[in-house]
Amino acid sequence: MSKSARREKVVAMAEAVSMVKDGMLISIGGNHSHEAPNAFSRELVKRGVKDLTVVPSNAAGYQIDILIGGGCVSTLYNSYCGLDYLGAAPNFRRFAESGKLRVIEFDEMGLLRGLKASAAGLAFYPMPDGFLGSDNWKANPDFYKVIPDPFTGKKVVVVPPIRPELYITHVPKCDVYGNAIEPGVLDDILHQAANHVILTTDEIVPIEYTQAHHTEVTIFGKFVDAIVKVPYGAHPGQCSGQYTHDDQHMREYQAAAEDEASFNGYLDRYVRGRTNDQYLEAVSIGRLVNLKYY
Amino acid sequence: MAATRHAKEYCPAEIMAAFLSRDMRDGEMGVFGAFSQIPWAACQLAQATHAPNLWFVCGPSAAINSKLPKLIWSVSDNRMHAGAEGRIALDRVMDMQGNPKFFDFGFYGGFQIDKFGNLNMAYIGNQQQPKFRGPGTVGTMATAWLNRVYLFTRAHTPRLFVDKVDFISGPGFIDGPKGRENAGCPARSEGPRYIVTPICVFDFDEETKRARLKSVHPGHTVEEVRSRTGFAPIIPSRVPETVPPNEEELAFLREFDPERILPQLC
Repeated sequence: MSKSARREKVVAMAEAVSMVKDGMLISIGGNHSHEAPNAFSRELVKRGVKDLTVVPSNAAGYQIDILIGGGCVSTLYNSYCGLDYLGAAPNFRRFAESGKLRVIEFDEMGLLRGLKASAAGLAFYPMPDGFLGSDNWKANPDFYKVIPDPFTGKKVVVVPPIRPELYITHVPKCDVYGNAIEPGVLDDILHQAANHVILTTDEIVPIEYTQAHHTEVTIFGKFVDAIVKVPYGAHPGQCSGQYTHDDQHMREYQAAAEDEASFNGYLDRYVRGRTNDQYLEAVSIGRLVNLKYY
Repeated sequence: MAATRHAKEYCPAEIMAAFLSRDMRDGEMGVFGAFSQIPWAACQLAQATHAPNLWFVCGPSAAINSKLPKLIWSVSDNRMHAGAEGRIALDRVMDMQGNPKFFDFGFYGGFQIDKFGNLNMAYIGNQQQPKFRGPGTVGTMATAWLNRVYLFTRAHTPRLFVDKVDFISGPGFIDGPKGRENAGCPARSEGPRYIVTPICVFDFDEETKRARLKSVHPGHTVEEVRSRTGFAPIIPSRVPETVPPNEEELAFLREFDPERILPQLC
């Protein structure tokens, strides 16, 4: 009997990013700008990927706005895109208002239930009573369909499965097989809804760590295709248990994204031609250390 | 509460938090979303005073009964889990939003609110190329059908308070007394209860379901509310002042907000 080794999934950033092709339907995690694969988004901008249709979580932030500003996105499934307490995500607003970005009008429950339908292999997922009172179903008739409830005959709104080709998110730590404890709010569903999964992680832990905390695992290695170790990979968002968000950098980003010229300046300073280490140096290592939780 | 001496110096967010807190009932459970420092402070204040059995869920961090000892800017921050009694991921929160045993009330705000308490978070103009692109509907549709909804705003302008919203994200009474029923509203849901702003509180007329001026915060006037509101609210002949925070409430709010975030909100 020959013995094969269990496959470890850690790859270089360049290899993981090359899995994203022009025109793909991809899903990107993160809760607001937190726990988001922000370094990965910067890599996609650097590489000039085009024409993506992007499915974010219920609440998108920097990780999506920088992709829009970087010219990578043609269509966005949108429940919310903003910068949390700082207000508007300026690229999202600018590109939507100029008609350059096609926005598919979701609410968070509709988006999430489409992803849940995908994870569970269902034909569609119903929305609760009262949904007809909001205007989303009128603004997005391709996704929200009104049908008679087969049991009561009442009108019910249903959403179809949403199955992205790829899901990318950032986790504080995972093992080499892709098991991760992600304290965010939705990754458990998002990673099961997509065909393939890439994790970026601040830390790689031994399998014994997973085994000692197995009841807390939210992302199952079974679904994970590739892992990239990226220190501060969620910066300028927070990474649970590791570092909090960088308020100063977020404000700098928000101000820069107000128009094309200043946003280009931001990309030149932090993104184009820069490795992640060079990005972190440009932010300043002293500031990063001060974001540490402990 | 024994103390009845009212504080003289307080900021708009503090009177708003005190007002909301007094309306919460012991034993209930509430939920709030992102950028909700005022509801969060109100929940903490209620727990510390008349409602020790209140429960609250911070949706963006999934924390139940956070005991983080101070307000922070992002309630999506995982530090909200400090001292929490549980974690409920967002899709389970949503499943529970249809269950009358779970959430008694929720909070939200947006960039347009109209006379029937409808809320717009999406856009103004043409969807494909809007005049104004807002962040999106997010959880407001689902929150609108909880047993009670509190709307809160950080500003009070005619652009925010409009006669009719351009898009309904969170349905209020929609188009009048039959609006919610026609949309298939669950019977348990009372709809929007109050709109709490930095200068006043609106409730809703029982018959017409139109916004009605309930009270004006000390230092503001009925005339000011009229001129700063883009719809015509029902204005009763006598409009009382909103009861300001008492000294005990204010002391709690100050201790809970050492970085003085509340005064920066409105």
